[in-house]
Amino acid sequence: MTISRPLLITGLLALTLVAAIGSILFGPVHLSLARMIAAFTGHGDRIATTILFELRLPRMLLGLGVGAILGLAGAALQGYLRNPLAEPSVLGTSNAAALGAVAALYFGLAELHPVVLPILAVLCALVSLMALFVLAGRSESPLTLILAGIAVATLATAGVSLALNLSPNPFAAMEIMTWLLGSLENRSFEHVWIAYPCIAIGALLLFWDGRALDALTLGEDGAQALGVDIQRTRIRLLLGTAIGVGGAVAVSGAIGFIGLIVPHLVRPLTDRSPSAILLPSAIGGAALLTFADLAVRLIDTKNELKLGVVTAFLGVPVFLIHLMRERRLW
Amino acid sequence: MASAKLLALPLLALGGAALWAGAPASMPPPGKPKRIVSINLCADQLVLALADRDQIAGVTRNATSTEMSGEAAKARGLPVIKNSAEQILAIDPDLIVGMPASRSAPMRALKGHKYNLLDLDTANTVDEIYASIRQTAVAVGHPERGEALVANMQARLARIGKPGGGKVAAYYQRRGFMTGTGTLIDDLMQRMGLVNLAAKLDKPPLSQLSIEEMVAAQPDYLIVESATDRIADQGTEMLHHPAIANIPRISIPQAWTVCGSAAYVQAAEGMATQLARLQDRTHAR
Amino acid sequence: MVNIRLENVAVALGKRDVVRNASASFVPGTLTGIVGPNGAGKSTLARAMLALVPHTGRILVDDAEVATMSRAELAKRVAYLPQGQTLHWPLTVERLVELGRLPHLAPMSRIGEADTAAIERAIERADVAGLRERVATELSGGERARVLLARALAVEAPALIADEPLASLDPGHQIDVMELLQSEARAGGVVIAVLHDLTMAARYCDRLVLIDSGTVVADGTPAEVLTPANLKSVYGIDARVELTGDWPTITTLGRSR
Repeated sequence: MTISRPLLITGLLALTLVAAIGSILFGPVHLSLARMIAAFTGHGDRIATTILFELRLPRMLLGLGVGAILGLAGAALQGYLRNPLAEPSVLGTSNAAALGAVAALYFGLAELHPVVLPILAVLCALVSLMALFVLAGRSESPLTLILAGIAVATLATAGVSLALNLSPNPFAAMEIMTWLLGSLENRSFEHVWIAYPCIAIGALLLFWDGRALDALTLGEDGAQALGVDIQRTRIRLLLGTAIGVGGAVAVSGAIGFIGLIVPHLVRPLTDRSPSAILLPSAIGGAALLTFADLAVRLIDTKNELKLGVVTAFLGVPVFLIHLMRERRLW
Repeated sequence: MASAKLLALPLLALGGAALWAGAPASMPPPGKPKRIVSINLCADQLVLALADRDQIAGVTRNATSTEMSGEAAKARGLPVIKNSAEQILAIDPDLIVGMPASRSAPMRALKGHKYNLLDLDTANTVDEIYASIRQTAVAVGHPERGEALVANMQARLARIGKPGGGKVAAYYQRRGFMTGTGTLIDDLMQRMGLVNLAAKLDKPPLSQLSIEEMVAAQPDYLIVESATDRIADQGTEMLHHPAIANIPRISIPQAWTVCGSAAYVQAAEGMATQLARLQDRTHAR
Repeated sequence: MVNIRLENVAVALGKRDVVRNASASFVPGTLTGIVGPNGAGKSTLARAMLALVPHTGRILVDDAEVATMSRAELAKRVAYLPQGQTLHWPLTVERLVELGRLPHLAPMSRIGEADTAAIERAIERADVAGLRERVATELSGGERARVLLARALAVEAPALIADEPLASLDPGHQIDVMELLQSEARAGGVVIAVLHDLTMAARYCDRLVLIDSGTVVADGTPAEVLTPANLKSVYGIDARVELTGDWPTITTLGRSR
């Protein structure tokens, strides 16, 4: 059921726009439409302006940015690894990045300079990806890669728990859930400035190799014979995923499922080539995460509902239905 | 038989004393106890303030933490009880002070044994603090110190007045937790003449307030724990969000407010000084 | 038009010397078959010619050593049809053939008129026009082989190396593919095919290079190369060779003692 590409992109953008607007409109404090419009045109009262511009706007921007890079990274990894289950959290990259962020924050390293936080997250993500490629990169079986990813993810999660337990700060242990399930609560523009450069660089690197991913349909030999430099492609992919996901996780924690589900959902609407799903996955990821973040705010719970929980509950049933109907993995 | 009557009196006295000692005690016998064990941080504060150093045989793990204990300096060097029934058994104390002592975990483990226990109640108002001080002072054998401390506290508090002037303040903790009415913090705020935002919004003693709601409420002051001035985790990072940066802050060490003790006065004096400074600044503009 | 020359080429994979000292020359207008027993090093040699494995000695495409050429450059000169019909993604046939234009596309550009024309020609020649909208992974073995060949033809490179293009094809389709390779050669290209089937090789190739244990044992016309003596020493079989028409027919009699 392929639909034309311009139609697909437009549809996804429209969906994202709806999500973004919803993200601005809803929050714990009810703001009347009149007040919001006044604030946007510059005549608003201080409270509405503060809430909209310093709380909801950064949160919306982060929902879009983090969702986009997660969707894109998932699509790129699935394309490169020729593996339908590949995505940053399954491969342990998100958790490794969380480990880097936790280490920076709780051991006081982030106080040296705000840029230390994303740098450590990116470095840890990079190390985990390299370890993964060393462990399972050459293997033909998709299973090896997933198993290696589980190993890396488990190790990183244990590392996060350990770091929090060792931290001099007694309240640190309570934040394990936030880091491992993800949250966009209480973000400010400072987080946007931390995450967006990383997301932008990561996205650029991941979009670059669309053609190479297509060529890999023919296997590594066939792709190389078509002029693809496999080494360079691999490096760009590693760096793109590490930088993009690292920067995102540094401000939002490890959010799972977006990178897994979105590519699978958009694939039937495209010609199924790896390059064709890159952009739709990015936009779809942005929409999905923003909707999930909206749900977090609309569902009233005693303790803050974690984003990762919502993405799991939203994503997995959709994924299962899709799987059963499609009757094939690709 | 005069001699028999003479004998009967001491016997009766002994019997009475035995009965009295045998009964499950929440009031210890008179005289100065020589091995006092405290099994609760707040009990530590009172014992450290009122007993002699050589009377104290054990305090809790947090007693020496400057972040959580007002009497941290005095607690240094004293033996630490890690809530273990074994340790208490080995010390064989003649007074155990807790909040409460009788229903606490180590005491449940030591059910068979008879100890002199002092059960203190959590103090949520300054009058309750005075009561606890007096209770403890008597138990450790220095009732006059208790009275002196209470008098000193009353005098210092009387000098403070009501610098708050009816303004609204919120006690904002990590992760957005806010302290409500019926707590010591609330008592402190009322003494200062401040209105507790939690009371205004009709919130329970502990609730969570999102930054958006805080922005919408716009209290005149935010009272925070001084440990949160440094960003060490996401919980403290939240308190530094730009959206609430414009609200003037009063910073009080947690050690002065977590327990109902003599440190209450330090907290009150600290708050008053900071209030005055902040008000000068607003008037100067 | 290109010339491909091998001079004392040796390839080692791991600790094994798979190809030792191979020298040969491939000129435009000829279909050359590389034949030999299993494990002789045929595929490895083909891969070495595409710089997919490192080699010692010289492999020259128009007097330029392949190891020093950029991938993009080499890809424009030599097209490759790999062994095994690997296809990971369920692309449509049209999209798949389009992949063949990759070497000619600038980094961020779309396919142009020249590319579309080349794709059409390739689809025509491989006779897969009727399969255009089908998903490539759902095709039969024979259809898939033709589609992949179309992909290789779409490159429109002056040279084409096909590794075992006849695997899993029925006799009719085998003939189709060989005729296609032959016509490519006639049109002026350098076509090299690694072949398993001696009959097909004998029938269609202008030249054969016989490889055994990594060395070139014979190099010439099919009649010159496929002698009973060679068949005996290389394949270990007794065979009768008859010249029928322009090419030798081999009848295998049995294992040689």
